[in-house]
Amino acid sequence: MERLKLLVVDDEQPMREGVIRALRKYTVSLPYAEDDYGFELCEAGTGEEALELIEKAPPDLLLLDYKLPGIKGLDVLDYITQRQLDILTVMITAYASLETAVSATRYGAYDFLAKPFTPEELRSAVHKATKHLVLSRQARRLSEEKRRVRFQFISVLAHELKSPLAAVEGYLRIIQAKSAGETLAAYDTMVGRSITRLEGMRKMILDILDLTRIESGQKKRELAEVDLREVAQAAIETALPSAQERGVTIELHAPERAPLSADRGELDIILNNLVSNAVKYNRPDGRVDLTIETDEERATITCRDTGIGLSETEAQQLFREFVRIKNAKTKNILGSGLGLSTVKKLATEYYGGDVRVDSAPGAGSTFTVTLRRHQPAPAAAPESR
Amino acid sequence: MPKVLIVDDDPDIVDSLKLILSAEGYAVAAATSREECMRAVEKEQPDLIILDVMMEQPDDGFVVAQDLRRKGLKTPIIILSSIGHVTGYKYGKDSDMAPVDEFVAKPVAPADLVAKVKKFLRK
Repeated sequence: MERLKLLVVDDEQPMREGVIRALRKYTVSLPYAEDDYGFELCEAGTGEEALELIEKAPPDLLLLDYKLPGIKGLDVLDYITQRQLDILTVMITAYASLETAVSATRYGAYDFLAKPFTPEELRSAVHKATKHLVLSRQARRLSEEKRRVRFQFISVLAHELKSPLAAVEGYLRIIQAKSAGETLAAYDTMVGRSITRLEGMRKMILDILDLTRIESGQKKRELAEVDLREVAQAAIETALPSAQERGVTIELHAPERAPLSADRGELDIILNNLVSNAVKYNRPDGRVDLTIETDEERATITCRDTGIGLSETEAQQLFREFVRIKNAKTKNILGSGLGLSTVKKLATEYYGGDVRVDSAPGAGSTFTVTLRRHQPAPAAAPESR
Repeated sequence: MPKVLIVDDDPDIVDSLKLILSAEGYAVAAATSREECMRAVEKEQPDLIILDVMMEQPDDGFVVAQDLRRKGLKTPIIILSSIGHVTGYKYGKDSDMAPVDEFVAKPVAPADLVAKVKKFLRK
Protein backbone atom coordinates (compact mmCIF):
# COMPACT_ATOMS: atom_id res chain seq x y z
CA MET A 1 0.00 0.00 0.00
CA GLU A 2 1.19 3.50 -0.79
CA ARG A 3 0.96 6.05 1.99
CA LEU A 4 0.03 9.64 1.40
CA LYS A 5 0.75 12.25 4.03
CA LEU A 6 -2.36 14.15 5.06
CA LEU A 7 -2.19 17.23 7.27
CA VAL A 8 -5.34 18.48 8.95
CA VAL A 9 -5.28 22.08 10.15
CA ASP A 10 -8.08 23.20 12.45
CA ASP A 11 -8.10 25.18 15.69
CA GLU A 12 -10.75 22.95 17.22
CA GLN A 13 -9.14 19.90 18.71
CA PRO A 14 -12.27 17.64 18.65
CA MET A 15 -12.61 18.47 14.97
CA ARG A 16 -9.06 17.29 14.24
CA GLU A 17 -9.61 14.16 16.29
CA GLY A 18 -12.79 13.40 14.38
CA VAL A 19 -11.00 13.76 11.07
CA ILE A 20 -8.17 11.52 12.17
CA ARG A 21 -10.56 8.89 13.47
CA ALA A 22 -12.49 8.89 10.21
CA LEU A 23 -9.40 8.53 8.05
CA ARG A 24 -7.09 6.37 10.16
CA LYS A 25 -8.15 3.12 8.53
CA TYR A 26 -9.49 4.60 5.35
CA THR A 27 -7.95 3.47 2.09
CA VAL A 28 -8.55 4.62 -1.44
CA SER A 29 -8.26 2.20 -4.32
CA LEU A 30 -8.08 3.54 -7.82
CA PRO A 31 -8.70 1.45 -10.92
CA TYR A 32 -5.57 2.68 -12.74
CA ALA A 33 -3.16 2.46 -9.79
CA GLU A 34 -1.70 -0.85 -8.69
CA ASP A 35 -1.59 -0.04 -5.01
CA ASP A 36 -4.21 1.18 -2.61
CA TYR A 37 -3.60 4.47 -0.90
CA GLY A 38 -3.63 4.83 2.86
CA PHE A 39 -2.96 7.93 4.90
CA GLU A 40 -0.29 9.00 7.30
CA LEU A 41 -2.07 11.60 9.37
CA CYS A 42 -0.70 14.66 11.14
CA GLU A 43 -2.36 17.69 12.61
CA ALA A 44 -1.84 21.36 13.36
CA GLY A 45 -3.93 23.69 15.52
CA THR A 46 -2.78 26.99 14.03
CA GLY A 47 -1.65 28.40 10.72
CA GLU A 48 1.84 29.01 12.14
CA GLU A 49 2.15 25.41 13.20
CA ALA A 50 0.88 24.29 9.80
CA LEU A 51 3.49 26.36 7.94
CA GLU A 52 6.22 24.91 10.11
CA LEU A 53 5.10 21.36 9.33
CA ILE A 54 4.75 22.13 5.63
CA GLU A 55 8.25 23.56 5.65
CA LYS A 56 9.72 20.56 7.43
CA ALA A 57 7.90 17.70 5.79
CA PRO A 58 5.41 18.78 3.14
CA PRO A 59 2.21 16.69 3.09
CA ASP A 60 0.53 15.39 -0.06
CA LEU A 61 -2.93 16.42 1.01
CA LEU A 62 -4.00 19.29 3.21
CA LEU A 63 -7.35 19.71 4.96
CA LEU A 64 -7.31 23.36 5.85
CA ASP A 65 -9.74 25.28 8.01
CA TYR A 66 -10.71 28.62 6.54
CA LYS A 67 -11.03 30.38 9.88
CA LEU A 68 -7.93 30.14 12.03
CA PRO A 69 -6.59 32.37 14.77
CA GLY A 70 -3.44 34.26 13.75
CA ILE A 71 -2.35 33.29 10.24
CA LYS A 72 -5.51 32.61 8.24
CA GLY A 73 -6.27 29.57 6.16
CA LEU A 74 -6.04 31.60 2.95
CA ASP A 75 -2.54 32.78 3.96
CA VAL A 76 -1.42 29.18 4.32
CA LEU A 77 -2.95 28.42 0.93
CA ASP A 78 -1.21 31.42 -0.58
CA TYR A 79 2.12 30.26 0.86
CA ILE A 80 1.71 26.87 -0.84
CA THR A 81 0.66 28.36 -4.15
CA GLN A 82 3.48 30.91 -4.18
CA ARG A 83 6.07 28.21 -3.65
CA GLN A 84 4.38 25.88 -6.13
CA LEU A 85 4.44 23.07 -3.60
CA ASP A 86 3.01 19.75 -4.72
CA ILE A 87 0.22 19.80 -2.15
CA LEU A 88 -3.47 19.39 -2.85
CA THR A 89 -5.65 21.46 -0.52
CA VAL A 90 -9.25 20.92 0.52
CA MET A 91 -10.65 23.92 2.39
CA ILE A 92 -12.87 23.34 5.39
CA THR A 93 -15.36 26.16 5.72
CA ALA A 94 -18.12 26.79 8.18
CA TYR A 95 -21.30 27.85 6.41
CA ALA A 96 -19.75 27.54 2.99
CA SER A 97 -20.69 30.59 1.10
CA LEU A 98 -20.15 31.13 -2.55
CA GLU A 99 -17.85 34.01 -1.71
CA THR A 100 -15.40 32.04 0.44
CA ALA A 101 -15.49 29.23 -2.08
CA VAL A 102 -14.56 31.51 -4.93
CA SER A 103 -11.77 33.25 -3.06
CA ALA A 104 -10.25 29.95 -1.93
CA THR A 105 -10.24 28.62 -5.48
CA ARG A 106 -8.52 31.75 -6.60
CA TYR A 107 -5.83 31.04 -4.04
CA GLY A 108 -5.39 27.51 -5.36
CA ALA A 109 -7.65 25.24 -3.29
CA TYR A 110 -8.83 22.12 -5.06
CA ASP A 111 -12.09 21.48 -3.22
CA PHE A 112 -14.27 22.41 -0.22
CA LEU A 113 -15.82 20.66 2.64
CA ALA A 114 -18.59 22.46 4.49
CA LYS A 115 -18.81 22.19 8.25
CA PRO A 116 -20.45 20.30 9.77
CA PHE A 117 -19.70 17.20 7.70
CA THR A 118 -20.23 13.50 8.29
CA PRO A 119 -17.30 11.02 8.19
CA GLU A 120 -18.75 9.78 4.90
CA GLU A 121 -18.65 13.23 3.37
CA LEU A 122 -15.08 13.65 4.58
CA ARG A 123 -13.99 10.34 3.08
CA SER A 124 -15.67 11.11 -0.17
CA ALA A 125 -13.84 14.46 -0.37
CA VAL A 126 -10.55 12.75 0.46
CA HIS A 127 -11.25 10.08 -2.15
CA LYS A 128 -11.83 12.70 -4.81
CA ALA A 129 -8.70 14.66 -3.82
CA THR A 130 -6.56 11.51 -3.76
CA LYS A 131 -7.75 10.55 -7.20
CA HIS A 132 -6.91 13.98 -8.55
CA LEU A 133 -3.50 14.00 -6.86
CA VAL A 134 -2.48 10.56 -8.11
CA LEU A 135 -3.67 11.26 -11.63
CA SER A 136 -1.91 14.59 -11.95
CA ARG A 137 1.31 13.12 -10.58
CA GLN A 138 1.10 10.25 -13.05
CA ALA A 139 0.51 12.69 -15.87
CA ARG A 140 3.52 14.74 -14.84
CA ARG A 141 5.75 11.66 -14.64
CA LEU A 142 4.63 10.60 -18.08
CA SER A 143 5.35 13.95 -19.64
CA GLU A 144 8.80 14.07 -18.04
CA GLU A 145 9.49 10.57 -19.33
CA LYS A 146 8.31 11.64 -22.74
CA ARG A 147 10.61 14.64 -22.74
CA ARG A 148 13.54 12.45 -21.75
CA VAL A 149 12.85 9.91 -24.49
CA ARG A 150 12.42 12.72 -26.98
CA PHE A 151 15.74 14.24 -26.02
CA GLN A 152 17.48 10.91 -26.31
CA PHE A 153 15.90 10.29 -29.69
CA ILE A 154 17.02 13.67 -30.99
CA SER A 155 20.58 13.27 -29.67
CA VAL A 156 20.94 9.91 -31.36
CA LEU A 157 19.28 11.24 -34.49
CA ALA A 158 21.73 14.14 -34.65
CA HIS A 159 24.64 11.75 -34.31
CA GLU A 160 23.28 9.37 -36.92
CA LEU A 161 22.70 12.16 -39.40
CA LYS A 162 26.09 13.69 -38.77
CA SER A 163 28.02 10.47 -39.31
CA PRO A 164 27.41 10.31 -43.07
CA LEU A 165 28.10 14.03 -43.34
CA ALA A 166 31.41 13.61 -41.54
CA ALA A 167 32.33 10.69 -43.79
CA VAL A 168 31.49 12.56 -46.98
CA GLU A 169 33.18 15.72 -45.80
CA GLY A 170 36.26 13.70 -44.86
CA TYR A 171 36.48 12.32 -48.40
CA LEU A 172 35.85 15.72 -49.96
CA ARG A 173 38.64 17.27 -47.93
CA ILE A 174 41.01 14.56 -49.09
CA ILE A 175 39.97 15.24 -52.66
CA GLN A 176 40.39 18.96 -52.08
CA ALA A 177 43.89 18.45 -50.70
CA LYS A 178 44.62 15.92 -53.45
CA SER A 179 46.07 13.67 -50.77
CA ALA A 180 45.83 10.62 -53.05
CA GLY A 181 47.73 12.22 -55.89
CA GLU A 182 46.82 13.90 -59.17
CA THR A 183 45.17 10.91 -60.87
CA LEU A 184 41.39 11.17 -60.88
CA ALA A 185 40.94 7.39 -60.73
CA ALA A 186 42.59 7.30 -57.31
CA TYR A 187 39.47 8.97 -55.92
CA ASP A 188 36.89 6.63 -57.47
CA THR A 189 36.30 4.63 -54.30
CA MET A 190 35.92 7.80 -52.22
CA VAL A 191 33.36 9.24 -54.60
CA GLY A 192 31.48 5.94 -54.68
CA ARG A 193 31.44 5.67 -50.88
CA SER A 194 30.30 9.28 -50.57
CA ILE A 195 27.34 8.64 -52.84
CA THR A 196 26.48 5.49 -50.88
CA ARG A 197 26.57 7.39 -47.58
CA LEU A 198 24.37 10.15 -48.97
CA GLU A 199 21.85 7.57 -50.20
CA GLY A 200 21.84 6.08 -46.73
CA MET A 201 21.19 9.49 -45.27
CA ARG A 202 18.26 10.07 -47.56
CA LYS A 203 16.84 6.68 -46.60
CA MET A 204 17.18 7.58 -42.95
CA ILE A 205 15.35 10.86 -43.41
CA LEU A 206 12.48 9.05 -45.14
CA ASP A 207 12.35 6.50 -42.33
CA ILE A 208 12.29 9.27 -39.74
CA LEU A 209 9.35 10.83 -41.53
CA ASP A 210 7.52 7.48 -41.41
CA LEU A 211 8.26 7.05 -37.73
CA THR A 212 7.36 10.56 -36.63
CA ARG A 213 4.18 10.51 -38.66
CA ILE A 214 3.13 7.37 -36.82
CA GLU A 215 4.27 8.65 -33.43
CA SER A 216 2.61 12.03 -33.66
CA GLY A 217 -0.68 10.56 -34.76
CA GLN A 218 -0.70 13.33 -37.37
CA LYS A 219 -1.06 10.92 -40.20
CA LYS A 220 -4.68 10.20 -40.80
CA ARG A 221 -5.29 6.49 -40.66
CA GLU A 222 -7.62 5.10 -43.22
CA LEU A 223 -8.88 1.71 -42.23
CA ALA A 224 -10.24 -0.38 -45.04
CA GLU A 225 -10.17 -3.99 -46.05
CA VAL A 226 -6.70 -4.63 -47.40
CA ASP A 227 -5.47 -7.81 -49.04
CA LEU A 228 -2.20 -8.75 -47.40
CA ARG A 229 -1.24 -10.86 -50.40
CA GLU A 230 -1.38 -7.82 -52.62
CA VAL A 231 0.69 -5.76 -50.17
CA ALA A 232 3.28 -8.53 -50.05
CA GLN A 233 3.42 -8.74 -53.84
CA ALA A 234 3.99 -5.00 -54.06
CA ALA A 235 6.78 -5.18 -51.47
CA ILE A 236 8.46 -7.99 -53.38
CA GLU A 237 8.25 -5.99 -56.58
CA THR A 238 9.88 -3.01 -54.87
CA ALA A 239 12.72 -5.18 -53.60
CA LEU A 240 13.18 -7.04 -56.87
CA PRO A 241 15.88 -4.87 -58.50
CA SER A 242 18.23 -5.12 -55.52
CA ALA A 243 17.38 -8.81 -55.09
CA GLN A 244 18.25 -9.55 -58.70
CA GLU A 245 21.46 -7.59 -58.39
CA ARG A 246 22.50 -9.94 -55.62
CA GLY A 247 21.01 -13.07 -57.10
CA VAL A 248 18.51 -13.40 -54.26
CA THR A 249 15.23 -15.13 -55.08
CA ILE A 250 12.04 -14.16 -53.26
CA GLU A 251 9.10 -16.50 -52.99
CA LEU A 252 5.64 -15.71 -51.70
CA HIS A 253 3.53 -18.34 -49.97
CA ALA A 254 0.08 -16.89 -49.39
CA PRO A 255 -3.58 -17.83 -49.73
CA GLU A 256 -5.59 -16.46 -52.67
CA ARG A 257 -6.77 -13.64 -50.49
CA ALA A 258 -5.69 -12.56 -47.00
CA PRO A 259 -7.95 -9.67 -46.07
CA LEU A 260 -7.66 -7.64 -42.90
CA SER A 261 -8.85 -4.27 -41.73
CA ALA A 262 -5.85 -1.97 -41.92
CA ASP A 263 -4.29 1.20 -43.23
CA ARG A 264 -2.64 0.29 -46.52
CA GLY A 265 0.29 2.69 -45.99
CA GLU A 266 1.11 1.09 -42.64
CA LEU A 267 1.10 -2.41 -44.09
CA ASP A 268 3.36 -1.19 -46.90
CA ILE A 269 5.86 0.06 -44.31
CA ILE A 270 5.82 -3.29 -42.49
CA LEU A 271 6.18 -5.48 -45.58
CA ASN A 272 8.71 -3.23 -47.30
CA ASN A 273 10.93 -3.27 -44.23
CA LEU A 274 10.76 -7.03 -43.80
CA VAL A 275 11.42 -7.84 -47.43
CA SER A 276 14.13 -5.25 -48.04
CA ASN A 277 15.95 -6.35 -44.86
CA ALA A 278 15.74 -9.97 -45.94
CA VAL A 279 17.34 -9.04 -49.26
CA LYS A 280 19.93 -6.64 -47.84
CA TYR A 281 21.18 -8.95 -45.13
CA ASN A 282 21.11 -12.06 -47.29
CA ARG A 283 24.07 -13.85 -48.76
CA PRO A 284 24.62 -13.61 -52.52
CA ASP A 285 22.33 -16.06 -54.34
CA GLY A 286 20.34 -16.57 -51.16
CA ARG A 287 16.59 -16.85 -50.88
CA VAL A 288 13.71 -15.18 -49.10
CA ASP A 289 10.50 -16.96 -48.20
CA LEU A 290 7.61 -14.69 -47.39
CA THR A 291 4.68 -16.56 -45.89
CA ILE A 292 1.26 -15.19 -45.03
CA GLU A 293 -1.25 -17.10 -42.96
CA THR A 294 -4.55 -16.04 -41.49
CA ASP A 295 -7.03 -17.38 -39.01
CA GLU A 296 -10.25 -15.86 -37.65
CA GLU A 297 -8.39 -13.42 -35.40
CA ARG A 298 -4.93 -12.82 -36.74
CA ALA A 299 -2.77 -12.52 -39.78
CA THR A 300 0.77 -13.82 -39.50
CA ILE A 301 3.57 -12.70 -41.77
CA THR A 302 6.73 -14.78 -41.71
CA CYS A 303 9.83 -13.63 -43.54
CA ARG A 304 12.67 -16.12 -43.65
CA ASP A 305 16.05 -15.33 -45.15
CA THR A 306 19.27 -17.26 -45.71
CA GLY A 307 21.42 -14.37 -44.57
CA ILE A 308 24.10 -13.59 -42.04
CA GLY A 309 21.83 -14.13 -39.05
CA LEU A 310 22.03 -12.56 -35.63
CA SER A 311 23.55 -13.42 -32.29
CA GLU A 312 21.23 -13.52 -29.30
CA THR A 313 22.43 -10.13 -28.03
CA GLU A 314 22.02 -8.61 -31.45
CA ALA A 315 18.50 -10.01 -31.73
CA GLN A 316 17.54 -8.47 -28.40
CA GLN A 317 18.62 -5.00 -29.46
CA LEU A 318 17.21 -5.19 -32.92
CA PHE A 319 13.86 -3.47 -32.42
CA ARG A 320 15.19 -0.40 -30.68
CA GLU A 321 15.43 2.89 -32.52
CA PHE A 322 18.66 3.50 -34.42
CA VAL A 323 20.09 0.15 -33.48
CA ARG A 324 22.07 -1.11 -36.39
CA ILE A 325 23.99 -4.26 -35.93
CA LYS A 326 27.53 -3.23 -36.69
CA ASN A 327 30.04 -5.84 -37.65
CA ALA A 328 32.36 -6.60 -40.51
CA LYS A 329 29.53 -8.24 -42.44
CA THR A 330 27.14 -5.30 -42.21
CA LYS A 331 29.54 -2.44 -42.79
CA ASN A 332 28.66 -2.04 -46.45
CA ILE A 333 24.92 -2.43 -45.96
CA LEU A 334 22.84 0.71 -45.83
CA GLY A 335 20.30 1.09 -43.10
CA SER A 336 18.86 3.72 -40.84
CA GLY A 337 18.30 1.55 -37.80
CA LEU A 338 14.72 2.76 -37.75
CA GLY A 339 12.91 0.27 -39.96
CA LEU A 340 12.35 -2.52 -37.47
CA SER A 341 11.51 -0.21 -34.58
CA THR A 342 8.86 1.32 -36.82
CA VAL A 343 7.54 -2.13 -37.72
CA LYS A 344 7.34 -2.99 -34.06
CA LYS A 345 5.58 0.25 -33.20
CA LEU A 346 2.98 -0.32 -35.88
CA ALA A 347 2.39 -3.98 -35.05
CA THR A 348 2.09 -3.51 -31.28
CA GLU A 349 0.42 -0.13 -31.02
CA TYR A 350 -1.96 -0.21 -33.95
CA TYR A 351 -2.60 -3.86 -34.66
CA GLY A 352 -2.50 -5.47 -31.21
CA GLY A 353 0.23 -7.73 -32.49
CA ASP A 354 3.92 -8.33 -32.16
CA VAL A 355 7.20 -8.89 -33.97
CA ARG A 356 9.78 -11.46 -33.11
CA VAL A 357 12.92 -12.83 -34.63
CA ASP A 358 14.41 -16.31 -34.58
CA SER A 359 17.96 -16.37 -35.70
CA ALA A 360 21.47 -17.62 -35.24
CA PRO A 361 24.69 -16.29 -36.74
CA GLY A 362 25.17 -17.71 -40.23
CA ALA A 363 21.86 -19.55 -40.11
CA GLY A 364 19.61 -16.82 -41.47
CA SER A 365 16.81 -15.00 -39.68
CA THR A 366 13.07 -15.47 -39.51
CA PHE A 367 10.95 -12.47 -38.66
CA THR A 368 7.40 -13.12 -37.59
CA VAL A 369 4.84 -10.32 -37.46
CA THR A 370 1.36 -10.93 -36.13
CA LEU A 371 -1.46 -8.49 -36.72
CA ARG A 372 -5.04 -8.36 -35.53
CA ARG A 373 -7.37 -8.79 -38.48
CA HIS A 374 -10.23 -6.75 -37.09
CA GLN A 375 -9.44 -3.37 -35.59
CA PRO A 376 -11.57 -2.15 -32.71
CA ALA A 377 -13.50 1.02 -33.39
CA PRO A 378 -12.51 3.76 -32.95
CA ALA A 379 -9.11 2.62 -34.07
CA ALA A 380 -7.60 6.06 -34.42
CA ALA A 381 -5.74 6.16 -31.12
CA PRO A 382 -2.93 3.76 -30.31
CA GLU A 383 -3.37 1.66 -27.21
CA SER A 384 -0.20 2.62 -25.47
CA ARG A 385 2.27 5.35 -25.77
CA MET B 1 58.13 4.06 -39.25
CA PRO B 2 55.89 5.36 -36.43
CA LYS B 3 52.56 3.59 -36.13
CA VAL B 4 49.17 5.22 -35.59
CA LEU B 5 46.12 3.31 -34.35
CA ILE B 6 42.81 4.71 -35.56
CA VAL B 7 39.72 3.79 -33.54
CA ASP B 8 36.40 4.73 -35.10
CA ASP B 9 33.27 2.71 -35.79
CA ASP B 10 32.68 4.43 -39.12
CA PRO B 11 34.59 2.53 -41.83
CA ASP B 12 34.68 5.58 -44.08
CA ILE B 13 36.29 7.75 -41.41
CA VAL B 14 38.84 4.98 -40.81
CA ASP B 15 39.58 4.81 -44.54
CA SER B 16 39.96 8.60 -44.82
CA LEU B 17 42.31 8.82 -41.88
CA LYS B 18 44.29 5.85 -43.10
CA LEU B 19 44.80 7.49 -46.45
CA ILE B 20 45.81 10.83 -45.00
CA LEU B 21 48.29 9.34 -42.57
CA SER B 22 49.83 6.71 -44.81
CA ALA B 23 50.38 9.41 -47.44
CA GLU B 24 52.50 11.09 -44.78
CA GLY B 25 54.52 7.93 -44.33
CA TYR B 26 52.96 6.60 -41.13
CA ALA B 27 52.08 2.98 -40.59
CA VAL B 28 48.36 2.77 -39.78
CA ALA B 29 46.31 0.19 -37.90
CA ALA B 30 42.56 0.40 -37.28
CA ALA B 31 39.98 -0.79 -34.78
CA THR B 32 36.22 -0.23 -34.84
CA SER B 33 35.17 -0.99 -31.28
CA ARG B 34 36.36 -0.80 -27.69
CA GLU B 35 37.31 -4.46 -27.60
CA GLU B 36 39.14 -4.31 -30.89
CA CYS B 37 40.99 -1.24 -29.70
CA MET B 38 42.21 -2.93 -26.52
CA ARG B 39 43.45 -5.90 -28.54
CA ALA B 40 45.07 -3.71 -31.20
CA VAL B 41 46.94 -1.66 -28.60
CA GLU B 42 48.62 -4.83 -27.35
CA LYS B 43 49.23 -6.38 -30.72
CA GLU B 44 50.23 -3.34 -32.74
CA GLN B 45 52.05 -1.35 -30.06
CA PRO B 46 51.11 1.96 -31.70
CA ASP B 47 53.05 5.16 -31.10
CA LEU B 48 49.88 7.25 -31.21
CA ILE B 49 46.17 6.51 -30.82
CA ILE B 50 43.39 8.47 -32.51
CA LEU B 51 40.07 7.80 -30.79
CA ASP B 52 36.57 8.69 -31.86
CA VAL B 53 34.41 9.73 -28.91
CA MET B 54 31.13 8.14 -29.91
CA MET B 55 31.10 4.55 -30.87
CA GLU B 56 28.36 2.24 -29.61
CA GLN B 57 27.99 4.40 -26.51
CA PRO B 58 28.27 8.19 -26.53
CA ASP B 59 31.29 8.14 -24.23
CA ASP B 60 33.14 5.09 -25.52
CA GLY B 61 36.16 7.14 -26.55
CA PHE B 62 36.59 8.51 -23.03
CA VAL B 63 36.06 5.12 -21.47
CA VAL B 64 38.69 3.60 -23.73
CA ALA B 65 41.12 6.40 -22.91
CA GLN B 66 40.57 5.87 -19.19
CA ASP B 67 40.98 2.11 -19.52
CA LEU B 68 44.24 2.53 -21.39
CA ARG B 69 45.63 4.99 -18.88
CA ARG B 70 44.57 2.76 -16.00
CA LYS B 71 46.63 0.02 -17.57
CA GLY B 72 49.59 2.34 -17.40
CA LEU B 73 49.75 3.05 -21.11
CA LYS B 74 51.62 6.29 -21.83
CA THR B 75 51.02 6.39 -25.59
CA PRO B 76 49.69 9.80 -26.65
CA ILE B 77 45.95 9.83 -27.40
CA ILE B 78 44.14 12.22 -29.71
CA ILE B 79 40.38 12.35 -29.31
CA LEU B 80 38.51 12.96 -32.49
CA SER B 81 35.17 14.41 -31.58
CA SER B 82 32.15 16.05 -33.06
CA ILE B 83 30.10 16.00 -29.89
CA GLY B 84 31.08 19.52 -28.88
CA HIS B 85 28.83 20.82 -31.60
CA VAL B 86 25.86 18.80 -30.45
CA THR B 87 26.06 19.19 -26.71
CA GLY B 88 27.57 22.65 -26.61
CA TYR B 89 30.15 21.35 -24.16
CA LYS B 90 33.72 22.35 -24.62
CA TYR B 91 36.23 19.67 -23.90
CA GLY B 92 39.74 20.39 -22.85
CA LYS B 93 42.62 18.51 -21.43
CA ASP B 94 41.72 17.13 -18.04
CA SER B 95 43.81 14.27 -16.81
CA ASP B 96 41.03 12.90 -14.59
CA MET B 97 38.00 13.29 -16.78
CA ALA B 98 39.62 12.64 -20.12
CA PRO B 99 43.20 11.50 -19.89
CA VAL B 100 44.09 12.41 -23.44
CA ASP B 101 46.66 14.66 -25.06
CA GLU B 102 44.70 16.48 -27.71
CA PHE B 103 41.19 17.11 -28.95
CA VAL B 104 40.49 17.47 -32.63
CA ALA B 105 37.10 18.53 -33.93
CA LYS B 106 35.54 16.33 -36.57
CA PRO B 107 35.52 16.62 -39.53
CA VAL B 108 39.15 17.55 -39.71
CA ALA B 109 41.11 19.05 -42.57
CA PRO B 110 43.87 16.62 -43.58
CA ALA B 111 46.62 19.20 -43.08
CA ASP B 112 45.41 20.00 -39.53
CA LEU B 113 45.33 16.38 -38.54
CA VAL B 114 48.77 15.75 -39.95
CA ALA B 115 50.09 18.76 -38.02
CA LYS B 116 48.65 17.42 -34.75
CA VAL B 117 50.01 13.97 -35.39
CA LYS B 118 53.44 15.37 -36.21
CA LYS B 119 53.44 17.19 -32.89
CA PHE B 120 53.49 13.81 -31.11
CA LEU B 121 55.50 11.72 -33.54
CA ARG B 122 58.83 12.39 -35.06
CA LYS B 123 59.50 10.18 -38.01
